[in-house]
Amino acid sequence: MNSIEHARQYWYPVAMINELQPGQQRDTQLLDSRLTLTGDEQYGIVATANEKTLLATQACGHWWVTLCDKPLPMFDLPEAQEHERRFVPCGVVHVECSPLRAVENFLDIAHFPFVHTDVLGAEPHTEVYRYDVKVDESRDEVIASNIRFYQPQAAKSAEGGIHTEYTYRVPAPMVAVLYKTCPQKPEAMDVIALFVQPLSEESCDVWPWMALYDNESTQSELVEFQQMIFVQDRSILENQMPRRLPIDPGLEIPTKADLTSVAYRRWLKQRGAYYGALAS
Amino acid sequence: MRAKTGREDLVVWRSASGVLSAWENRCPHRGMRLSHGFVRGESLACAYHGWHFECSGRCHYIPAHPELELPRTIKPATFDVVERDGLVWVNTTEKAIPLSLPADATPLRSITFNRNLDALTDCITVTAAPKLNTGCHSTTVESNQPRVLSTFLDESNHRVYLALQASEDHKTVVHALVSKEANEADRITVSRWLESLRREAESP
Repeated sequence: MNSIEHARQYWYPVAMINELQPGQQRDTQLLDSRLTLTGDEQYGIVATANEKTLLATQACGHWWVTLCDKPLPMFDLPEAQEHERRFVPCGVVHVECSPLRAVENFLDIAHFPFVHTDVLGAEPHTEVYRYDVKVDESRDEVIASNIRFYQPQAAKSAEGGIHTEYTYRVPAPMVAVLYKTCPQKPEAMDVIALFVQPLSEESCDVWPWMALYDNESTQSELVEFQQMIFVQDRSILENQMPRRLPIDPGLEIPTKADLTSVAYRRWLKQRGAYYGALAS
Repeated sequence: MRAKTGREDLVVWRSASGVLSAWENRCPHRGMRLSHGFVRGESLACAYHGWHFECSGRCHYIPAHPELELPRTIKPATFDVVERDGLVWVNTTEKAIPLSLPADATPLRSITFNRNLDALTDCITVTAAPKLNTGCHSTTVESNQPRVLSTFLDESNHRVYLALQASEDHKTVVHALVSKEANEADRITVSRWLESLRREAESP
């Protein structure tokens, strides 16, 4: 199976639910294929590529499609069923980088003090303490846990700095889910997910989505906060060379803070998930 | 700052004490362009994770691991760099040997032309300059490798030197120098001449 055939087995987000009114159309791209999305009274959305209608399904505030007739099952995100949470689809951010670079950046905490200065991190609190990374074989996903980091403003609802706890899940090559300390409800965890729509191996549309406990902020304040964070990330992602993610060791030097990224790259490689990767 | 030669993407930076460096424009950690970084005293810090590189290129501080002893091998590729006559010269393959320009020449400005090196040379020496009708006498190629042109500009009453740098995507950066004697009005004249030269060179 080549890299694009491998990538075609998965589901990808292409629009927010309710984004397209019946009859309304939008063109987009997925894995190098042109796609047309049409709002539909009966089905909600109809996605076509080369005049063929694609399988489509709703999950986590978005429409997901697949280019495969027998796709892998959608990943499981139980928090999307917890109705006391606020669900916040954050729109889309276009980034000229490999979809895998976008996911890897989301899994990285060491950049917070430098890229999200005084929000998700601040000097001199730059140290990344030891944390745990494993591949959960039964669910086939990368999991990083026990990550602790000092954050001046961990979320829109945070008042002042807190030591935040993070857990990451990577349930599909282009999906990453973050569980983090909830400033308003310390016993619970906020969920922030990154759903990546690969346009090509070197460009992507990123759809952040959140499931939070926050009774105070307005929806637009929450979206604005997340968009601000992601636009800061974009300034990095579009200036990484090479554009594709080097999946073999050698070209880039990791440290202990990069254990999640090392596990992610290895996991991609073992699965043959080379779409967006630079293999040596 | 970022500089591009035909082959290499470079970061060129000056430390607080004045040491000049030219490196491959790529952090060895995650491939981030170092030209987006910031100078902190005698170090250049990467914009992504704040890795600090000293003037030799060696990484000496990783903020995520403040206590870590670092091997000397973590460094971007470094290139030979020399400063002379107000110009910075880099050689990405061997030792940089700057061209000697006349002692009275002083830098005026650098301007990017959307033409490749040869087309632009041809354009300046043959086509564009006479058409501009600025009293520009024959332009001579002072040196071919690196390429430096010179011409006498009547309007400003001074000799102008153009050091040409082949850049990315068939572009050429022109570093213009003019006599130290040139007063402000003369310098403005030369600067405007450069802009009209660019308009002419880039017009189809």
